[in-house]
Amino acid sequence: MSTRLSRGGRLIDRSRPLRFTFDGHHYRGFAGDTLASALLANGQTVVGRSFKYHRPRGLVASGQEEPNGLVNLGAGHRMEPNQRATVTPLTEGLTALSQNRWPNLDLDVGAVNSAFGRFLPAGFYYKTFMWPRAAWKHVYEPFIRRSAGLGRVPEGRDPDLYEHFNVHVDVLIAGGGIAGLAAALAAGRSGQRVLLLEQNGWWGGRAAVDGPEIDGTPAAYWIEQAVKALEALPNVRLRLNTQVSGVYDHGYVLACEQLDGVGPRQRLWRIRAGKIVSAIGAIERPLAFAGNDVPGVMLASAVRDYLANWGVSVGDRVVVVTNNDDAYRTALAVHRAGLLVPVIVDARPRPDGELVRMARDLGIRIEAGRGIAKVKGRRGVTGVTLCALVGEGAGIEDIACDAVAMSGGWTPSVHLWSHAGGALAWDDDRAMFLPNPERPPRQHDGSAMVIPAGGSAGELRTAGVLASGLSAGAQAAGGEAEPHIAARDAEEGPFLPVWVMPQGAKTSLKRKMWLDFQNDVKVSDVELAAREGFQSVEHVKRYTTLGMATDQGKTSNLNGLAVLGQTLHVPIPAVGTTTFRPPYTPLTMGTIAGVAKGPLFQPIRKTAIHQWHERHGATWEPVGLWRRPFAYIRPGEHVENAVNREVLAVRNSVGCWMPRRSARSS
Amino acid sequence: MLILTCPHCGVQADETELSPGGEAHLKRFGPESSDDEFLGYLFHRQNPKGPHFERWRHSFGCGKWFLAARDTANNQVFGTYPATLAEPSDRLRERISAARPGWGFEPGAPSPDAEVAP
Repeated sequence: MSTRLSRGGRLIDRSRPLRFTFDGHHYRGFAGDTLASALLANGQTVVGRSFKYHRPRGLVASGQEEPNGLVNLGAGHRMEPNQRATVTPLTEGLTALSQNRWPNLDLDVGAVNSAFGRFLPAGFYYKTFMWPRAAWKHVYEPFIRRSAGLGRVPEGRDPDLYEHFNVHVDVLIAGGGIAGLAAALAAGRSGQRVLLLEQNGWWGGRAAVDGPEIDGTPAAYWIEQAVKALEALPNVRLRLNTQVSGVYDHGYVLACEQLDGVGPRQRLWRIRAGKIVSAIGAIERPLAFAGNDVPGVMLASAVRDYLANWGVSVGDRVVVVTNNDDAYRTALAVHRAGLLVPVIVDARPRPDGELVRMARDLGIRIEAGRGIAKVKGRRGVTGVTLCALVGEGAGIEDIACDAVAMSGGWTPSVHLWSHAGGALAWDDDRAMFLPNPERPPRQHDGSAMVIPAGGSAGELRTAGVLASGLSAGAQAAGGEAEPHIAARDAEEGPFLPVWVMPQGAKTSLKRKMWLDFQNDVKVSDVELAAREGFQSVEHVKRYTTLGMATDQGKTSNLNGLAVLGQTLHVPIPAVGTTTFRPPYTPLTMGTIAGVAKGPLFQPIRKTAIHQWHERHGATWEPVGLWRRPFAYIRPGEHVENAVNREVLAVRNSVGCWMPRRSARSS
Repeated sequence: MLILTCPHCGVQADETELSPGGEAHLKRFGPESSDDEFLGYLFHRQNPKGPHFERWRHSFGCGKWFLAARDTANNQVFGTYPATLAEPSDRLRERISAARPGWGFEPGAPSPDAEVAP
């Protein structure tokens, strides 16, 4: 059971409590909370039901990549479906409804699908709804349409305003973590026009949570000083709450800014940038073990985000399962908060690094070379069963816990690099797809348009992140490389790729190993697709729905590729990736439309003699955006009479037809 | 959205200011030509993956036609020049050859015999 701790939470203001409702229940949170952190603070660990099997689902992540925490937000005309609770700021009186359940979250009739899960594998509807032929139209399709989809469609017109904003800059920096800040410092000093956009409401990204030492000071202090220095530069503009959405040809970029207060709700930035620095970080990968979708199983980084940012503990006893050193930071943070880490399950046979030694010195039990055979519990984690990583999953020991923090390593976010055609290269040591500097997306003059920095360039250690940020910023502005910024974080030992845990798991376990939480795709589904001949990664994606829908596989893609590679006995780079397409996160249709709606959607174009026609009683015939007089109506006359009268006038006397601009010659 | 520099007015034009006009340097075949030649002129285009010459009109600017050499695979623009030139300049060709070795300029539509099965 998750709860709010009495101290901690660097983003919340405990003096400003807020009320909100979720599924009709009244809850309290604080200013600075997200909907996700406030739900966890109130012990609401189940936030939705899964798409296909209607399994209870909890939050997995703490940011844009969240696959499960989708809610219907607001009510009436302002209702918006499929909003990620993790990036929804809590406001007074906010109302949210869980999705994909009937009649309610606790009792969901659709959960019967879970019992028949064996009979609903990947592509089942291509196989089972074949005949009788007439049944498709009258029975199957109406049924599938009713059960498909997640949120409900809002009714009525969107009452909010949206605006577009055109801007030209020399250097656009996407991401306000320490890589983006370093890049902005380097580029800003050149005097060029620099725009720095950050998706969250705060600067510093992960460093603000993990707190390495930068330039001899704590990370939080360095971040504050860097932002101050940037604000003092007249040529640098900074925006929080602005998500870079897509990179297009020749430096055209779309970004969406969330606004609050009166006025427009969102602003779409249409940016033409000379160079784009992609400093959008990396996303942690889940591990595939049986029951990894039980509410309470979360990404290790999310567990410490909730602790550090919002003072929320996800459970009193948190088991950490990992294949890398970074997850030890979660174990240490949980321990420091006064909660219990019963065991760190490390897949590596001999983990050794600074963080491992720190955990060991604190007396935290470390089980090396082990994996999780299964997670116990249905609506929430009640325990885990340990097993040998290399075996078939025979249980060694049961450990009681109420949360599991998992980490399968990090996946650099290469979306902005790839949107306009940047190629990727596989790094076998770190098991990542990285931007291939030989084949960047190109600006019109043939130079590289996007320069990756920090996590999205595969740099995960603080010193490397800062160095790559500085050099990317200097390169983008065409200036001199900046002096080095010293940084100190823990030395990390090597990481061990683990795609399925345990490695020899039988199908019965693989049927409970989720790869894509949002679309209910399991290890067994990808294997089935491969067996049935869907071996191209693009085919597997469509057949199983792996990596589709609102999160576009942010957490699931690489694990899916790896499982496919294992099944086909080919290396991961030979499997390839699916194409990264904009937008990075879902955009509201209203934002794309901007003010072009209602009478401004297709403004009527008027000729010079439009008013003369009007004065003479013209009725109009639409010709594209133009209006052509159809007939001139005299008092008491019907349109048909007027047409006949005009036709007769031409027949009996003389007529004049004036050719005019048609809609084509705009 | 592409950026092309209009060679007439010198403006770095956004794609929304421009109208595309298809492949450039087509060899025109009129009424006296053979059916095959006329067919090729009307319908057959090179559609290469790589350097390509194309016609653009600066319709929401100076209104004039110009030609652009653009790599269709990665959108690198090698240069733009007035539509009155019958062929790309030697300097432009050299620039493309330097960036894409082995590249060659073949004006006009591809021969219909090579493209269409009998």
